[in-house]
Amino acid sequence: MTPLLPLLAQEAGKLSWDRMPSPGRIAPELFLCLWAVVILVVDLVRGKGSWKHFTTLSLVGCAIAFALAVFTAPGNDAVGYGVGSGGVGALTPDAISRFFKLIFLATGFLTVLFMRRSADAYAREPELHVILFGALAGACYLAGASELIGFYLAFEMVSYTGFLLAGYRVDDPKSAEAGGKFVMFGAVSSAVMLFGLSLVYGATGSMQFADIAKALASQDASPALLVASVFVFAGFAFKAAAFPMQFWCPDVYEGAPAPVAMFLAVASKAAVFSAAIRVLMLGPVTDTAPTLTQLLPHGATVTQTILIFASAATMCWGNFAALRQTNLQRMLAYSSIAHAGYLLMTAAVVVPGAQSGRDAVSAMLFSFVIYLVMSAAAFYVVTVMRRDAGTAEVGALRGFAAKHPLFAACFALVLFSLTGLPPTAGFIAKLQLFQPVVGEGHFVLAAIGLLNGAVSLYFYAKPIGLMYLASEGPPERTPAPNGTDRTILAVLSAPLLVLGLLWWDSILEFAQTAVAAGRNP
Amino acid sequence: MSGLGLNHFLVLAALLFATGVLCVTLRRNAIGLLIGVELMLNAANVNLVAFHRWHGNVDGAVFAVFVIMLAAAEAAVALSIVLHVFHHAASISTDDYTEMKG
Repeated sequence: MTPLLPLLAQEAGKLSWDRMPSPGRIAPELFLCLWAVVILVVDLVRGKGSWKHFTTLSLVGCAIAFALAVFTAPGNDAVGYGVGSGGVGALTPDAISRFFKLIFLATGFLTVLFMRRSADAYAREPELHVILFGALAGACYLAGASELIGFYLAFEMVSYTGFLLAGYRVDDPKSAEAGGKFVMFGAVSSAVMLFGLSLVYGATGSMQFADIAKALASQDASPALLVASVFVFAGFAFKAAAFPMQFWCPDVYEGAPAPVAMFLAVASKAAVFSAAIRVLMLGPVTDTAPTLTQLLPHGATVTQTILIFASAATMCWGNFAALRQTNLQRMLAYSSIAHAGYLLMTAAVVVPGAQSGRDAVSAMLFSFVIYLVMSAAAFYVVTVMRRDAGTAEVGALRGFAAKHPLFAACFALVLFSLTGLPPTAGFIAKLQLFQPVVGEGHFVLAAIGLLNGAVSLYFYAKPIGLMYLASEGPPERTPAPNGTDRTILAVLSAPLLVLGLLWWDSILEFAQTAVAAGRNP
Repeated sequence: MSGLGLNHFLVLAALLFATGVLCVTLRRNAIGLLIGVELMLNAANVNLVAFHRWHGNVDGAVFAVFVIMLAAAEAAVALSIVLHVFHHAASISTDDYTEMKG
């Protein structure tokens, strides 16, 4: 046992500018933090400018960060404190994390765009954009985290900003309730996860993922480690809205503003999967990251069993509960739970270090891209509905196709894609997700997944039936998309058809390249 | 330090954590629930600092400092949202937050 102060002095002695190299490698994160401050300052000095300037400023910020992420070369060495001791540190911005960053930033761009189109009171607050940039920065850090402190800080950065965004509609009791429920369940689950992390540190004596993996590989299972792994899984499951921690999701997504619900469904979920993929896929003993497999006492089988049951329960719960929903936004929340189930299904069959494991991870990355497009398009329809009709009830779409044939056709295409019907991109994404599951011989799990796909057709078909077959409702309760709305929805839904037929393999190749080049697949 | 070892601190942390969990599950009051969360976070802090002494490296203590900071941020966020909910529901009892169901 050594006293703290000499230890700190010793550690501080290691800090020097040489050991903090290349801040350029985390340029997107740094830029996002900077841009949040810029928005705040502009708000202070602007006087009485139009609120739309802010959304323009945010859109530009997201676009610049996206470009920075594209042009920042990924690498497998760590950035930051601790560099030099075998290439480990707080952050490792590798190719996989870059792929996720592009997803987050595209989602951020669309969220801001939708807020602008919603023209609601909440969207006029510059603070909302500051919080959103905080969430984006946290998600980008999380995708590259390779050390426990950085991982937990980034995880909480995404969580806290999510709580605030969900409760941002000041005039709406539902939004307040969504924020309240989110913050209470979220605070408890993150405290549980932190306790698990403290036990992991106790068992291994290190915060670096790489050292934790080495330490875990050389010791036997203990009850403390079992508790730690269950607690950590609970934290992940909460953010991913996976069974048995999915109960908060429908309430929060229904109460939150529609663009924010989209952000939570795509970016927040992708962020937690980006961290989970690191923990899951990363390989056996000698490799440089720990696996859930190693955290659990009986090795791979226990982890796999937990994940298989969680995935089956998650997709069944999501799809069957969605059947009786009449609120479109709530239905999409259940749909996002179901999609988390499909992703978990693929995650369950990841074999660390093997080629099949790599394929499964690339399938997950690929399906995130498609899911981003589908969700964005679907939530855009909800945004328009809430703006024009003041409701997200499916009934508002009654006879909608007669007046707005293009908008209705695009929405129908999006719903078909969410179901996973050919020839849409949703079908390709499902196919990619199922392939590793069947390849590894989990036929029962794949069958449950297929059955769920069939069930989901019923609730996705409900809006389509109302739009095309029902007689028209009162005009003041029907959404009235204008030219810009039609363009946005068409631009979002066209890729679903194009990628479903033609160029999906180039995206898949991009994902495969990222996984192959990424840290320790 | 004689007689007072790692295990004493771990037991203390476990008890603190259990108290926090009980507080979270039994309280019907949003503020009480947040106090329970604070207990759980601090249980983890006791663990981290105890393990820091045990392993003789600085990581645990650094993490504990970050957790203290995070707990403050969390209290600020959570309390402002609870205030916001109270504004609408006129209650801090979690039983009354039932606008949305199913």
